[in-house]
Amino acid sequence: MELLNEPLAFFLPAWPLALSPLLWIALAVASAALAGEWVRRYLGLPRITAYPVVGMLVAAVAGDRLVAEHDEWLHWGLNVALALLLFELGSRVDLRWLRHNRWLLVTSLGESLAAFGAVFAISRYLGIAPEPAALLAAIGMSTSPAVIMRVVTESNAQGQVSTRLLVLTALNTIYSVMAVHLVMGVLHQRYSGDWVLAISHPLYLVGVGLIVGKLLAMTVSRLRHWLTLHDEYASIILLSLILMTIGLIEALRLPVTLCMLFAGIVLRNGELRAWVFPEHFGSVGGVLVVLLFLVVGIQIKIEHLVTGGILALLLIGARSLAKLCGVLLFARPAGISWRQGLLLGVALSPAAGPVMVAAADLGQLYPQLQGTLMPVAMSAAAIMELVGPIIVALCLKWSGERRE
Amino acid sequence: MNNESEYELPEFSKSEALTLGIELELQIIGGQDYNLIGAAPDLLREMTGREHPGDVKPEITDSMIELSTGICRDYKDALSQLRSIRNELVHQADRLGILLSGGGTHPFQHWGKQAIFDAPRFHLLSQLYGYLAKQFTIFGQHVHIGCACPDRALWLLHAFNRYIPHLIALSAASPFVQGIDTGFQSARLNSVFAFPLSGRAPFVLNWDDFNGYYRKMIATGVVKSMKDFYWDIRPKPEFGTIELRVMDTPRTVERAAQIAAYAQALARYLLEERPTEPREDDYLVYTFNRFQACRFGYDGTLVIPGSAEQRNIGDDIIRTMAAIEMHAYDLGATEALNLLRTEVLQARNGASEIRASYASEGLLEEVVRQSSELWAGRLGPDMKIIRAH
Repeated sequence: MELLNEPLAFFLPAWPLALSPLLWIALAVASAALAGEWVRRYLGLPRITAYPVVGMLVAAVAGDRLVAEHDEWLHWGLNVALALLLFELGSRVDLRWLRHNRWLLVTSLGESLAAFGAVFAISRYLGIAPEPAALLAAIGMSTSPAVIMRVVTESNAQGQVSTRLLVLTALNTIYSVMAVHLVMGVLHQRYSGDWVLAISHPLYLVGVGLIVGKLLAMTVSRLRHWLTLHDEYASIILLSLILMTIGLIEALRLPVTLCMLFAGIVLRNGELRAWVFPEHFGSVGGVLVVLLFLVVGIQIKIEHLVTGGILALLLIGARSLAKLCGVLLFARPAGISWRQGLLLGVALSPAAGPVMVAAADLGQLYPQLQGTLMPVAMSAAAIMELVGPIIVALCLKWSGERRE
Repeated sequence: MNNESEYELPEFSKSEALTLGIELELQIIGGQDYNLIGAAPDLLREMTGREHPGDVKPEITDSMIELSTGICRDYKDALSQLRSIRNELVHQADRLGILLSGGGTHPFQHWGKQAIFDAPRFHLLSQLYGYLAKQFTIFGQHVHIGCACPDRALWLLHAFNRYIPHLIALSAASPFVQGIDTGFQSARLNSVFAFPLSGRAPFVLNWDDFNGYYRKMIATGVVKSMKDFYWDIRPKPEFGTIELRVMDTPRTVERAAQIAAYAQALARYLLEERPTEPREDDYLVYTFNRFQACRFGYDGTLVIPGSAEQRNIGDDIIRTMAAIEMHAYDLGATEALNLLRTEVLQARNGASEIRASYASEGLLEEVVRQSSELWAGRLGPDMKIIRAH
């Protein structure tokens, strides 16, 4: 044994090889990417359907050691992946459209409030106290921006359903982040009856968030006057600007989600000129996106899928139905057909990834919830994480807007 | 209806001489990436039941829509009809988050992505012509001129051939195709030339002879109806008109109305003054002249049919304008003529505007955005934003 550990020559490695964890993570990413291609080619499903599944398998084989040991840089990677996706999502929101079509804004408020109401009602029915129920409901308002962005981009969908899907997702994500921060403030009793504090919190989030967004947008718009934006080298500059912004956002203790959405929206709407992403900008984030969904999958345990049982399905069903009704109610005045309204409403159902994180946080805050809320929420989130991309892909397919 | 009459050339309807009808094929553009988008069904759905003059119809691909005026008496009538259809269309497009634009081609679209509109005739065309049908994502202006009788219609059709380069140069608005500056002012027409039945109508001046030609063509099985002829000018017996089809869709409805008014005044001049009698030999220089207009616009060379005289197309337009001035006055088109004359003197048309816009912006997406704002009437020709009134 001892002999084996000694290298034969000074330039040879010791045996057994000390494999760096990077190798294992890269292996996981590669398997996920390959599985994604397979799923796309043979099942006609979006690639991201495969990533969380591979993540689950990885977790089953290696446990969550892989993630736990490399928490810090994975955290960075995921933040960047999410930031890029949200920035791009924000840049798809055309505020002039919302001004021309007020019913679109009404639709957005309608579907978000309906989802809030539905999740709140079900949570209360499960016997959860009002505050955590409100938190869950606030999270439930949001459609997963990552899933929507990836599936829409991948299927190259263009049309009323896909464009509105992006806009509604961006908006309900904004409402959701705002609401979550408010409810969290109440929950942690940070405001402790101080209404000035309670009011200034959302103002700080939106105000400073917008300022950070504006700064990024201004820098980009300055640069683009002498940069060829179509050029792939421009994406390096854009990417580093976004990384700097993430740094700034963290220093200011702002949510990345909100700020990057704002940055995208400000960039798109700040000036009239057409905004185009540089070539290959999307592929820069591509690896990170695989990582993002892989890690989400690693966090899903097989038992999560079953423990919630009927109640989890009830929660999903109620939330999806609420969103669907919210959209259908205003479909015609907002200028889409019933069929498009149906597909749009259903496509809004994927739940945001942060649900699970928040649910876990809540579980620690309120140990009494461990038995009730936790399993249901975790289960619901896990199911949606796996099924969401398929639902969105099918809706886009049936809407006839796929242009692959 | 039996098979015989189905293939019969329709009776030439009576229409009041020199009335106008304008059709414009429009680009439907996505608000996200400024590329063509197949939103015609959405737009048509939202347009149903809205009050506006004329008509709005689907076209061969989903990213194209055609608007048409009713029968117009004169320039003012045409302009007001076009403006109100345009306004309603733009309003609905705004609600849908899409853009509309004039111009003969989309500057950077890839036609592989265009879906063919879901109607049997269009599927048939697509099967017959293959990629040509998709390449046919080009956008033209058609002007109908009412003719009192079919023989006069044929006479006018052939008398117009000498002026086809004028119409091309005035309307040219398709310098870019699939992201590349073609060097042409109207690259759109190059796509039309690829079709087997494009070009000029046969030289017959008598409706019975024309009917004979039509029957022979039907008998060959090559054509099924007048729609299969993609001629630059063709008679439209159902309407009792001749249809001028060489124009790119201009970038504004105003320009479209001015060009129609120019054609109307020209027709009146030809019919009343009979400056020349059309002859088959006029067509010897026809394709040369037409190429010159497509490629160089006002700077092109025009060979006057029946002589060896070469003229600059821009100069020839100015001369013609002087000749038809009184007719334009009688038709109430003086304003239109003056506006067009200024454009010619400044060597400006849609193509030069699009090139200037690209030169200053360096981004075709921005060019498309400006075109759509211009079309919506929210941008002046100097690219200054017009405040909402």
